[in-house]
Amino acid sequence: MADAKSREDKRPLSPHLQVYRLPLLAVVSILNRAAGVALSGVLVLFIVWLAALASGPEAFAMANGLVQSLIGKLLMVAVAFGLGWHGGNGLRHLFWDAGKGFSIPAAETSGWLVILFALACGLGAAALLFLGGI
Amino acid sequence: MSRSFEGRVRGLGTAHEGLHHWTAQRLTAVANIPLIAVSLLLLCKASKGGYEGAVAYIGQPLVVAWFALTLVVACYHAALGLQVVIEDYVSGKGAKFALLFLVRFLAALGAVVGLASLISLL
Repeated sequence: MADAKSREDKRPLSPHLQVYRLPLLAVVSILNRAAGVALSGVLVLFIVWLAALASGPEAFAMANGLVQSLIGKLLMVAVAFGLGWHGGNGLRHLFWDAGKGFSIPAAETSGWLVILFALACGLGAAALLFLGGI
Repeated sequence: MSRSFEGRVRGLGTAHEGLHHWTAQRLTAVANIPLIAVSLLLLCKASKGGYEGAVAYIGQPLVVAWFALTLVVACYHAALGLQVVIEDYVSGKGAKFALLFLVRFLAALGAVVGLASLISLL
């Protein structure tokens, strides 16, 4: 069997995702990408909402009913969290592009700041939607 | 014969491009910060007064202009970002070509549908 192994099998494996706990910086980084992909979907939903508004009262009532529903409001909270996450991380990347904040302690601090900022955005949206009556 | 650094960043390197994508992604990222932040505030204001209120508020020329700019920049930024994700994770040549085409087509379609909707509200 050993000689049947392909050349690919002998290549080094790293990091093995099933047994390797990703460090904080890696988690923040991959979730930034995930947030970007998810926000692209949110952009589609926003365009659909705009098109519904332009199409007339019936279409708008349906689209806005979904936004005002519990699931819609929870989605809006998630959108606020995702915008905070992607926006905060984007800002962090701009500092890196300028050559600032590259040390691991600095990157971990800014990573935590992004997490806190995203949570604050989500909580703020939740407060506005569920308490403020938007 | 080694190419000059400028020659490589001007599109003669292995990827044949890159600098324009990098610059455009960052310019649209910076622009998105105020564009989306203000758009969210405008949406909060527009959400009062049901259908009539939303049409009246969003139909104001400056609100239409702001949303139009936000939509175009956001669609462009989304297309650039999704392009990188596809290039990183999709290895098949045909699938990659098809997905990249689809992303660009959908981004353009989304921008056009959004702009048409906004203009009809004026």
